[in-house]
Amino acid sequence: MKNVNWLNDLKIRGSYGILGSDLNVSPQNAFSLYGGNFGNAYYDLAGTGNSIMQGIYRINIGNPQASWEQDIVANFGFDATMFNKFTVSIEYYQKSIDGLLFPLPLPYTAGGASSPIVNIGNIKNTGVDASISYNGNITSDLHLSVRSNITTYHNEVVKVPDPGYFDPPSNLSFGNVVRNQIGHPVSSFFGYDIIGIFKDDAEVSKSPTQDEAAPGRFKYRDVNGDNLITPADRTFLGSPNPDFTYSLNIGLRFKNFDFSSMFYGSQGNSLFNAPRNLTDFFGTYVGGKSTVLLNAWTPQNTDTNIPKIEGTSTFSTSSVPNSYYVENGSYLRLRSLILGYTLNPSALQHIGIGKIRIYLQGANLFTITKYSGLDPELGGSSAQFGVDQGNYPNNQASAIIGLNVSF
Amino acid sequence: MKNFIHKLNISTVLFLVLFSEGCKKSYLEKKPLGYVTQTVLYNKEGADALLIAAYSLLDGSPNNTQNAWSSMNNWIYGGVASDDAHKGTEYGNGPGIEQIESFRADASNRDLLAKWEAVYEGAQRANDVIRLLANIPENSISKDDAQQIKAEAVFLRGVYLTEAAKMWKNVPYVDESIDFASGNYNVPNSGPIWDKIEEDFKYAAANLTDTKGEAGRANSWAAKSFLAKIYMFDHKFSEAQPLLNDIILNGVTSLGRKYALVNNYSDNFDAIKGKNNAETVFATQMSVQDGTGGENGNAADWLIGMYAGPSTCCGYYQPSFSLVNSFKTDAVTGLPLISTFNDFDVKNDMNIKSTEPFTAYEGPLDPRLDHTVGRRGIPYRDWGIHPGYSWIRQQACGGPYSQIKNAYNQADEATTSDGSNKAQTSNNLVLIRFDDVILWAAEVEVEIGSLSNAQEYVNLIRARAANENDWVKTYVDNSDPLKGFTNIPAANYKIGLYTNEFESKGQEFAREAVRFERKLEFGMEGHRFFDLQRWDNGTGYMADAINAYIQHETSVPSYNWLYMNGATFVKGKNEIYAIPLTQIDLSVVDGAPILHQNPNY
Repeated sequence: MKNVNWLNDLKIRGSYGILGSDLNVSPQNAFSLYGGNFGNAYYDLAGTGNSIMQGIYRINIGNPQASWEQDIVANFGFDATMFNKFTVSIEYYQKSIDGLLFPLPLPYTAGGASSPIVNIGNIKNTGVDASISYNGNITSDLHLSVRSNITTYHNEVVKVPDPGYFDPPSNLSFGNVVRNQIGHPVSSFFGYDIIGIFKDDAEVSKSPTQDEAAPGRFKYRDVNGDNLITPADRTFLGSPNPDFTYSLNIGLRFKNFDFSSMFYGSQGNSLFNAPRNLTDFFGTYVGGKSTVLLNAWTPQNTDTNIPKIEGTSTFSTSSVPNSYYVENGSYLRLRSLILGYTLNPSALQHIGIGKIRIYLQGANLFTITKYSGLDPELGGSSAQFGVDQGNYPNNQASAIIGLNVSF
Repeated sequence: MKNFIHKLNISTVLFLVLFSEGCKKSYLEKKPLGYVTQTVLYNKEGADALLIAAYSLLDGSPNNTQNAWSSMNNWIYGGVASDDAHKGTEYGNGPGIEQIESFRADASNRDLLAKWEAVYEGAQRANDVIRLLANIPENSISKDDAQQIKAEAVFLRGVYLTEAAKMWKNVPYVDESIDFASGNYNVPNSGPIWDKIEEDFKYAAANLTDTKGEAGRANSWAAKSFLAKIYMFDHKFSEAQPLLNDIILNGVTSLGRKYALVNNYSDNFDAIKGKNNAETVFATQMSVQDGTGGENGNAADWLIGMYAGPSTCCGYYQPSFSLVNSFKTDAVTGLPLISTFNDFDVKNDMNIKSTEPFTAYEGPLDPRLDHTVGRRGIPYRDWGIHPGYSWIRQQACGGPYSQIKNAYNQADEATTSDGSNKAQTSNNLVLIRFDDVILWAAEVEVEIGSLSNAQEYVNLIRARAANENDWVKTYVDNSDPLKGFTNIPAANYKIGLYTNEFESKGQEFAREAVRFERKLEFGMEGHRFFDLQRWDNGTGYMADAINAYIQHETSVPSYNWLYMNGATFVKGKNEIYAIPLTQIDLSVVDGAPILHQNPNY
């Protein structure tokens, strides 16, 4: 290997570890606890009209059996430096969660006490994380650094007790849109799959029987082929987990100028654009409506994917979760662009200033995406990951002019 | 040396303390702070506290966030879904309720889920009491106390499951054996559960005392009355007849007052005069100005607060044109126009601004109308002449009328209203009233007894309504309604008794007359949908009534009831509601759901 000049450094590495975690679990999870407050337990049993008596109810169901969830992390890869300028790092990783801690969804026949957190199931993530970077001088004045990174994901729910899935709590007016089911990625979107808009009465009558079916409304896919559209025809509509995410950072220095940029992208993920339930339908809420309705179905405009405009909210339009809201959430975003100029230091030293740098910084200057919501990069809770609930768009374009002075 | 001994002593003591503490097993066991664990409740006080929390859901509001879709007064499921009322407020506001009213609500409707949650949480809270009692040592509670607490809990379970049975008919029956710990909480809905609810009320009736220390507790007569109600829903008239007679002759309230029709019909909707009066068989106790901001005062009804006038939000639940028309009476006999009431509309102020002149309808009307419906030109309690348009949130959507039974009196504002919108009141929600019992008795007499007895019962109700002292009167001073009322009726009230029509016109007429009387007596009280359901019993009676109603309301001139376009009540489907899909999804046992959807959903 001594003769190999192009290779400066090569390292092969691997690791395996199990980490116990009970982060989400309150220490009270093991106990059935009783309590209550004015609104949901106290009562004017004496019939005074102006006073209440204390009531106590079972607030939560205890689960003494809950134990750690095990995060099993394994990876294998190599790091190499070549030609003094290139660094390459590639690794395969696997992160499994055994005994994921999650509140057990219970039917109301068990009562209203909060469900205990249980070790509900196993989840597996696998993927490849690769990065390549270049760091070197092109000419004596021009320095270039490039670093790019790509991470692929494959996520799957491996084990869940009967019924083989669990749904997180939802606060959307048209019901839950997320299901975690064996064999599917975590947080997959679940609902009716739209295969078109009914063009006319003839199409309605020759299609599988569907509640509230009418020309201009959604035609759902008959998943089980029984010629009836029922809850059994709900299916998986996409997942918020990307196939891969990537980034590219480029830095340039030329004499007193410096330049850096940071691109970030996510590919292959879907998003559930829930606000369209309010902006695209009149039957859901009175308020401003989207311009997509300009292309709405009419008897003359039948070749469209926008349903007809009407005041009612039906099974065949806006009252159930369906694929109308599922959009391609892929994006590429220029997160940051900086151009700076540093004044010659020697000229400033006599007035006691070490260095002055003037710079222009732009954040989120552009985003390439097909997503029609405000921002494909969603915040929000992890249980509703990928569901846009009208989140505030935190990543708006902004520009900064800056001055750094060091004394 | 002295120092050493000193040190030794301290460390020895420390060691002993640690050692002795360490010897106790409990050293590592910390009790959760700020909560109560079950063993603390193993006594009478504990059981009673659990029982109070089971009572507290009689308002239908289990959540801290006021839950407007599960109220026990059933303004949505019994009122808006029937020919009593429209959803009201504005178009698109409350889309789930629009679906229910237009019979488009399917299993995914979230409002139905809220109702399901509330009734099953109520039933399980009652079961928690029974389960706790089984664990209380004998010396911590007297036998009598344990018996009363258990019987009250069984009664409450029956009340909650009655709600479930009215809504969905084919529902899981959940008694104290159904629990998380037993793992049997997925319960099938293999058919109606009236028999099991009957058993609960029979048990409660046999074990509860006739009177109670507190007005809000259920006594044996409340249990008997609920049992009668179940018989009515289960069409067991021969069982109902002797029971109803017993209740009418001997029944007393929990405080020992003999059941009676109070002189003034409107007292029943007065937060003070109506509270646990002689007509109250069993009620949800409402409390305001108790330091909670109205959380115990009709908390689940906050949406139906008036949009303007006594409260400032939200204007849901507006009486229908058909309901108002039902109060028209014959100018000569004062009897209702049972088959022709909807031939023309009582004059209304659709599209007439409050600033424009309007004279109210001058034809003969049942005086109960203005205790049931707020309308333009008529005194609205002691709040002033109802101004019509300006008190209505969106006339085009809800129509020109307001609810009034759930409002409070201006003079009593300080003690009977609460909440930032003043939509919370201390008006009790009477789940069974004595006039209810009397009209059930009338129904039973029509079916299996004597028509003249039925007429006598109906006339009791009508005679009370004919008490002129209780008719709405004009104000002494329209600009200051608190100055009181004159002796001049505010409208052309005319009500008469049946003379011999029940016998002379026969059973078919008598049946319709009793049913119509219930519509008038209980207008805007959330019973109507379930009465129609009871009377339907597979005949299509309900579909005919509701479809005729939709036909009428959608053709009222200048009223454009948008979301009802194309709405139809489907016979064999819409008499009961869809079982919430999330509950079916969760009911999977051995790979298949054991909760089955109701027919045709």
